[in-house]
Amino acid sequence: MSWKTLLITNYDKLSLKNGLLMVTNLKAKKELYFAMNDLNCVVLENNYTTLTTQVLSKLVENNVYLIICDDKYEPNGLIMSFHNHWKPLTIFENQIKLQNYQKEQLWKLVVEKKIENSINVMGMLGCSQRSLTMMSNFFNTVKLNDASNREALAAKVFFRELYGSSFLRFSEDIINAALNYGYTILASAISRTLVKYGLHCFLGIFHKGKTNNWNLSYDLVEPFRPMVDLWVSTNIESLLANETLHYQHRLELINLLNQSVVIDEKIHTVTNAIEIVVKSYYTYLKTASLTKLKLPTIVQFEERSSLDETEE
Amino acid sequence: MRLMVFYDLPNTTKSENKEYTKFRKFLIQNGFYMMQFSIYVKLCMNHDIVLITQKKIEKNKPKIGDVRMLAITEKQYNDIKILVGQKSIQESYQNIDYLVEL
Repeated sequence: MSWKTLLITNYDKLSLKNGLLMVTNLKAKKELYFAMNDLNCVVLENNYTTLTTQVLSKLVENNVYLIICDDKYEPNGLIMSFHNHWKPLTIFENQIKLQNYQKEQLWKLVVEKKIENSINVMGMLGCSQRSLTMMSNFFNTVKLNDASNREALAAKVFFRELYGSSFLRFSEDIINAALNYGYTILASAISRTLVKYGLHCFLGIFHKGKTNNWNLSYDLVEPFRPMVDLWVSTNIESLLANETLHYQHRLELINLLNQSVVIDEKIHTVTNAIEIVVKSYYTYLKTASLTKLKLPTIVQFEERSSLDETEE
Repeated sequence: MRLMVFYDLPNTTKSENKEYTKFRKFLIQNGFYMMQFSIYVKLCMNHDIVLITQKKIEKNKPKIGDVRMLAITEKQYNDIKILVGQKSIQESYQNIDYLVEL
């Protein structure tokens, strides 16, 4: 069971000792050890960490995902396992066999869940009743394959309500930087879980980018996205005060993986929930029964102490 | 939860020494850290992991000597009063935090 996320900023060397990950700070002469099967994710943030090939190979073998960041601290790379499933061809065939009508049904469910989560988030932030009614109208009129493009309409209302009417997605400002960072962290978590289950990330449901390797990850990340939006709009003041994404912000965005969501009336951490979603998609491919697909619901939680979490 | 292993192993002959080193290395490779000499501790996320680890240790136990193990909850472990000395760096980073900044 893997649960620990390491964010490497000051330490400058990763190596392997006794089968454990050794993190060294050469200046302060500090060494720390972490067991491989405790690790979930390692984020390399500075650009001076050296690491050995053996570490890379061991991390990949234990399905720990390694995220590399660029100069702006934005994640731009993910290293993960090549072949760690015992039956890759069967799964690939299952994925290819997916019919068009099945994809349409699946995408409808995903979009519905995303809009539902957006509505939940807007409710938490106390948005106006008018936009909430608009959103629930969108929610009720999602068609197969989202033919009437409710997702984009809902996203437009959602973004306007959260970040003001002048907000443009994909322009270069601090809000977009924070959104991109959060989305990338979530999407890479999904990619690695997909790989773990032997699924091919480029065979998506709705996304069909010919040059995109992560079509399926971007499909499944949709219902999780409003979590990042929620975080950004609750921290919008401190974000706008800074030009670039602050260290504390990045830390909290990575920590979104440890927040809670609900699946089947049970509380899970996001990492756990991703596992359940991917597993359910895998089961769906085998059984073709739509009820098998599970998607997360974002609801508001009271602050929980870290001790409670271990007791579950 | 924390799984603690206490051991006293004879260390006079070469074969005894070998057995002792093997056992200690086995503990370290399985994520145990040294709390004090001959006392090794592993952080386990739940009771199942404790059971799995205990079985593993039982399989790899040395033939002679004195080895004991004890599982305690996180709260009990944190209530340990340190009279003299302090936690090592390794020990202080072995906590149940999901996100560790280094």
